[in-house]
Amino acid sequence: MGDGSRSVFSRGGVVALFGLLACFVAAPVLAQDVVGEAQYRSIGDLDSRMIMWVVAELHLMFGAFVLGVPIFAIIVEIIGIQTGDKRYDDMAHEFTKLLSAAFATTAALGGLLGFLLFGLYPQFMGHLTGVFHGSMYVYALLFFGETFSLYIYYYSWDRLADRKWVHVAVGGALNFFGLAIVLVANSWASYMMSPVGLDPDTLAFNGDTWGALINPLWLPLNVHRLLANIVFGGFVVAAYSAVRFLVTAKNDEERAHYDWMGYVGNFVGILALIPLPFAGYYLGREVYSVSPVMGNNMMGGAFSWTFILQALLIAMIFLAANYYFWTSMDRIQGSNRYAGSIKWMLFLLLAAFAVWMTPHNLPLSAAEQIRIGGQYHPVLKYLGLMPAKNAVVNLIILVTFANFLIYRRANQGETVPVSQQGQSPKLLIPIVSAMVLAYPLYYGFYLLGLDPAELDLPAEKASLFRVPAYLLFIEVMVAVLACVAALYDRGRLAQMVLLGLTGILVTGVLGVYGFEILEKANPFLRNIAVVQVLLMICGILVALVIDIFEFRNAETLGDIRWGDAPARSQYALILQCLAIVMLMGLMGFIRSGLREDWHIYGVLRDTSAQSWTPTNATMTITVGFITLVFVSWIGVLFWIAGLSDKKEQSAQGGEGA
Amino acid sequence: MNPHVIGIPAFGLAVLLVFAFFGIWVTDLQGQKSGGSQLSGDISAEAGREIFWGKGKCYTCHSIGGEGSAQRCPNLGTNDQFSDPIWVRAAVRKQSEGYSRERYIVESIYDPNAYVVEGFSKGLMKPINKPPIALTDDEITSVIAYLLTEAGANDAVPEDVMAAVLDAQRDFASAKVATEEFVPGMPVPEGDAEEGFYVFEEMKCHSCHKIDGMEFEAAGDAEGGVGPDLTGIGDIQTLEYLAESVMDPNAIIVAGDGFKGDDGNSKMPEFHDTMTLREFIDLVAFLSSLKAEG
Repeated sequence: MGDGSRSVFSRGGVVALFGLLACFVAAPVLAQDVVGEAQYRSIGDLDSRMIMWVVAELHLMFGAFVLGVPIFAIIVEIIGIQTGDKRYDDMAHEFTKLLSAAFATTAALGGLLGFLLFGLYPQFMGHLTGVFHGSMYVYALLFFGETFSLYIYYYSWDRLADRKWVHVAVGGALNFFGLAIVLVANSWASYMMSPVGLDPDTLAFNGDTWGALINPLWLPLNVHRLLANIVFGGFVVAAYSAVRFLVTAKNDEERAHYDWMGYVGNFVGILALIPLPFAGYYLGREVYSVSPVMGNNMMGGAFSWTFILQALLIAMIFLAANYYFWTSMDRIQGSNRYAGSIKWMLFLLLAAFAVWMTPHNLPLSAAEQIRIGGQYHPVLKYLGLMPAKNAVVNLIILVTFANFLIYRRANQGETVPVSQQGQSPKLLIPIVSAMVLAYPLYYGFYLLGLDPAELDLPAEKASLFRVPAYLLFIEVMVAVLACVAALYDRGRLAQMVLLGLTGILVTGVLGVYGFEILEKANPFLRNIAVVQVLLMICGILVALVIDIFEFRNAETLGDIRWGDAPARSQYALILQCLAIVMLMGLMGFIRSGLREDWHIYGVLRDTSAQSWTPTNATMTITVGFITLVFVSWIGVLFWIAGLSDKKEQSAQGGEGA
Repeated sequence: MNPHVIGIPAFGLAVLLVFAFFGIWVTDLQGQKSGGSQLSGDISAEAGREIFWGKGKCYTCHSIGGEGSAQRCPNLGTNDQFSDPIWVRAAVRKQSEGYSRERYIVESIYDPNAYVVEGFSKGLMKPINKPPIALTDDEITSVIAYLLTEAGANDAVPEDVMAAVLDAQRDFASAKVATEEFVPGMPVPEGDAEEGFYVFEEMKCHSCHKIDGMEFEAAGDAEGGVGPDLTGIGDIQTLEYLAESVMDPNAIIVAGDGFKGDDGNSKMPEFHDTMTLREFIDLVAFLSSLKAEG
């Protein structure tokens, strides 16, 4: 690493950490000022909430990058060790360098955010400090741990080149501290939505910090944010590679490097993106459990149209990911064999997104209502309900997975029969499949024994629980048969049958059955969604295990021509990155907005002049602006980090001469 | 020059602009307005409608007939499941327990889990007078008025029905009565005068107000005389006047020595935020019961 990035890292980091600590030291002093009426301060005539919105979102975005990239880096480094391919190691190293530049900015923004919170919202921060001050000290200490492990991880890269697992262990420590920081910060954000430990009459906090930390929304928020951070890290890496590929790559070797890097970034992002809707569903479900008012407001109230916008952005990401797969197949010999299937997949994706983006409640004029015979469209109203949404979300994931399988096998020719691959498939296919299938099997039996009274349903409704249970048993049975077929060299047929069945059961059968449950046993609907997730995970993972052995050591029809990717495929990667950044901003708006006029839901009311919920127009303009600032800022940081490369290259050139 | 140097920023800006304009279009489509809304303080069916479909968030779970889209909680109008609207079916729902229509509706707002309609989840609805919704008692009265006017189809709630609502509400309302929530001239339902006696005593009203023929447990500091003698006050003042005097002592200050302080205001302290709606109604009933002959 050159001197430039070293100075950014050390000076900026120290200043930011000092600011952060000063913020916590100042907290008790400010907290004394909070007893009594709600208190707000402002900076001149500036809108305090808008300032908070922009700074908090930028901090979160940089935070997502500096926490997502270490996960990305360590995975890539381990792949490099396992495969012996130095490109992986170089890529992990390159991104750790970018990380160090972004780290100081993240910490500085965090310090600014803390000062603004204590300065502009003293009463709110007084409450939060009163509840969480213990964890705030831990948070600051974790920051030291993160800083030092990042230093060691980056600077020991060459020194520990021949002791890579020791280096990976340092990376593990870096990720441990990064993860711990997220977990602590998430507890504050989730407590604002689901506060605990409060006296029901006086609303005074009489619990303990640990109890408040593990509040009901903490775990689902952790799962959702962790996965989202990996997606974010992967897509930022992919976009960085795309820009380098299109703009700065000087020769074929560099183009090949950045083409490949973009592929890996996209691959990691997509891999984490596939379970993200499930994590989102889990979080949403828990929001409903904490407060039905907040939950209904989310999907059926003030934010229902914001969720349509969210669907639009997710559609953008999935379509861009699939488009990238298809256009990138141009550089893979033998991929033309699969070209015919692409249009059908595109059709399925577009149809699924059309359903996903159909609102249940249309804003109609009286004349329009008369024309369609009521407030709801006679057909489209069904597409706006949860069963339809769940069905198509699963279909989108399934189609993307199928596309991934096609991409994987695009240049694979003659395969080695599984029966001739020795003992490993005979052991691993059954073992992995058994691990995957155990829980769906258990859940099927659980549904059969489920007492309707637990869901406040009359006893006769138990018969409605059987259908999803039987579907789970069918899926497990077919998955077992698929594994057997794979061992007898019928893997590809088995995969098709398994994935086809999964699609039919999840989308067709349970998609329709969900409407019956909605009408007859509404509380059971959430169990239907769980069954859909289990069927999908079961189908995907078993098909993937089979695929690994099916194409192991297969003959290749030609190397992938890295560096030959068309420019439009790189624009797809840039689009993905923009969409995930905007999506993060949009979801942050929804999560914060659900509290409406409460700083801490049901405990501390927001009595400021800005306690109302902004419109979607305000949201898209603000999030668009924040995205522009973030991508410009991180672009500048990458450019600064890249200056040291040039310096090193010119130094090497000088030595060579 | 590499075309992508211009192409990438242009592409990025185009994506951001499309996103921003889509938000503007959706906002326009929804008719969504920016900023907060201010409700009037009146108790009326009209205010109830505004609360039901706005601040009260009732619409996130309940529809009324074809109005609204929520299905999570019972439709309060008619649909495939319910042939009668709530203002009809409430009358018979807990009839066997002696509940009136008004009492059932009041209970289902203050204590929603006391009776849960079959097929709907228990625990889904929280008491509406508690956070996070935290409607005031008056706002709840308005929502009930809205429902009892057949969701706004009729002009007004008959007075006897309104009195029954307020009477039922007395048993559930727990929020302290705030001056700003008290609207002069609001109908005061019949309270329990005997309970009102104890409220009078607990609030130490007898420290300043004398009532001939009555004894109270704790002696007041001023031994009476700072405030007007309340003996027989029920003969000469209406319920509404008495209610206003309790909540806003400065509204009308009786002429007499020592009733006003140096600042020209009544010496009587403010009692807002110190008693519940039920205590308030009972206290007013007690004052109204003070007849000269009694």
